[in-house]
Amino acid sequence: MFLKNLSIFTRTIAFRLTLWYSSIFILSSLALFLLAYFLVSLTVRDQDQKMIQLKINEYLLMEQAEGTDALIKEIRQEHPSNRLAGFLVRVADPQNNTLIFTVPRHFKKTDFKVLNNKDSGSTDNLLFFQGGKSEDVLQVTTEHLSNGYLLQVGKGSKERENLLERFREIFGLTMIPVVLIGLAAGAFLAFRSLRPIRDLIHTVRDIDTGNMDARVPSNHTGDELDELVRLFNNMLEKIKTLITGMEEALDNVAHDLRTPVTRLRTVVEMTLQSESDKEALREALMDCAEESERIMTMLNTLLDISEAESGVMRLNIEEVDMAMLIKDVVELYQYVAEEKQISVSATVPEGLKAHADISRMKQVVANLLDNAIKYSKKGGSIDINAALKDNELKISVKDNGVGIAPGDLPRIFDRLYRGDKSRSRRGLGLGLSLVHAVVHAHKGHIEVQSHPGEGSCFTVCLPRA
Amino acid sequence: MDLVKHLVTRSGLEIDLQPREFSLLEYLMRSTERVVSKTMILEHVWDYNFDPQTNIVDVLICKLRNKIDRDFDKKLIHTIRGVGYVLKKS
Repeated sequence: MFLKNLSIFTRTIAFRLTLWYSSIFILSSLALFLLAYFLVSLTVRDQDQKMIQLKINEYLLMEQAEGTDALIKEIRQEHPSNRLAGFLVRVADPQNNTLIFTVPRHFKKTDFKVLNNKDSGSTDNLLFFQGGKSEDVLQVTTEHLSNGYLLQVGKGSKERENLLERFREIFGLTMIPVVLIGLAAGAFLAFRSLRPIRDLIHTVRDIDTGNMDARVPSNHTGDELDELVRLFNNMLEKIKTLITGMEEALDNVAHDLRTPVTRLRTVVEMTLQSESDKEALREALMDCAEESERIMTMLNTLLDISEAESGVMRLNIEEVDMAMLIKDVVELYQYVAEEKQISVSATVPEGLKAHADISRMKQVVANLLDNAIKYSKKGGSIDINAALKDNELKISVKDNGVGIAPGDLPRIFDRLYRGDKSRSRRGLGLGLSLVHAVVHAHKGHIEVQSHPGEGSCFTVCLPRA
Repeated sequence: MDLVKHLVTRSGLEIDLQPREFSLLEYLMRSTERVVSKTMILEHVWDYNFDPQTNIVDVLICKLRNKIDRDFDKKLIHTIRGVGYVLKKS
């Protein structure tokens, strides 16, 4: 169980990020230390070399001023302090016999015979000796005095080793908190920056278990994850609207279908009960065909309305020549209007363009014109007007027909609502609902003015561009 | 029916048809003995791909009938209720 949890934990992004953060942090501080260490050790070594040179120069000056004997005497006097300070001093006469020899404490056991072999003509004036401990190194510089005497000065590395060891210790001590801070900061950053992701996971899990209203909390930082959260919430909102829209549409359709299906069933039952001849059966079948045709039309229209209302209707928005469109529709109704002796006139400025789905917009105008013709008296007239006004494209269809009762006005766009006067006429009561839904899907709105007996005027307002 | 000259004759008599009536007759004749629905007529004659829920088709059929069938005993255009229309030879 524990191992399983551990393996889940080690697979998290947060864990991996923490690991990356801290290893980069630790490695870079390590590299920094190594660089500093290298530079410091170089500098310290340089310093030692300078000190040796200084000592030699000091002796040389003394020799020049007071002669070799005085120098030897002086060095003899310095003897113990040189030893303590870690200096090696050797003075040899021209025959290479050692006159004075001081050795630092740590190098007592070292074999210095090589120094004796050092002949006066040697160009190599740097020598190194290993001390008792391996890290102890003695570096020796050889200098020739004026009268063939040989002066050799060296210095042990003990002092600078001490310094570097201190440096290492301090680094070791600081490294522990650095690693800890690196780990902690890495973990903190990783967990903090991944919080929106965890919220997202929780929310999705919530939704998975049936809570459709769950939303991801946003911290409004405006970064990529915040954007993701925002888009995710928008998507959820859209899905929810869709689902509720579909549910409502389904409810409505089920309700609206009950009546025609009942009629269909009645026809069938009646025919089955009565002793009918072939012709009567034919009649009944035709009734059924007609009724099912009506159901189909109703279903299609209801689906269109639901689609438009829930915002899933696919609109193929393009630039539409309104004059053309209205001319087409008027032409479509030409015969119907002629039959009722209704004159249809259209006033559309040339080149009036709208951004709309051409087929849907035709449907809107056709439905409005259809209504106008349906509710016009014989010999009536219908005016279609389209114009740009107040940054809106207004298309109005005006008739001088029966008009709409004030009581019916607020409900004319409801599905399947039919006013008293319209009940006698054919139709489903869906035309205006469809017009309303399609216009709203185009982000427009529709206005209606009507007086009973004087006629009605429907105005579709579409946003420009 | 002469498509090029846009002429329609029945029993030697020339019948004067308006453009839409002409294209409706053409469509019915092309699908002789086959029943065509109102939606199909709307699509072919007006190039509309939606149902405007209106009686446009009925009105046009009625006008066409007046011109073609009224003066003859043998009726060519038949209504199949609930389904559509059909043009029959006999």
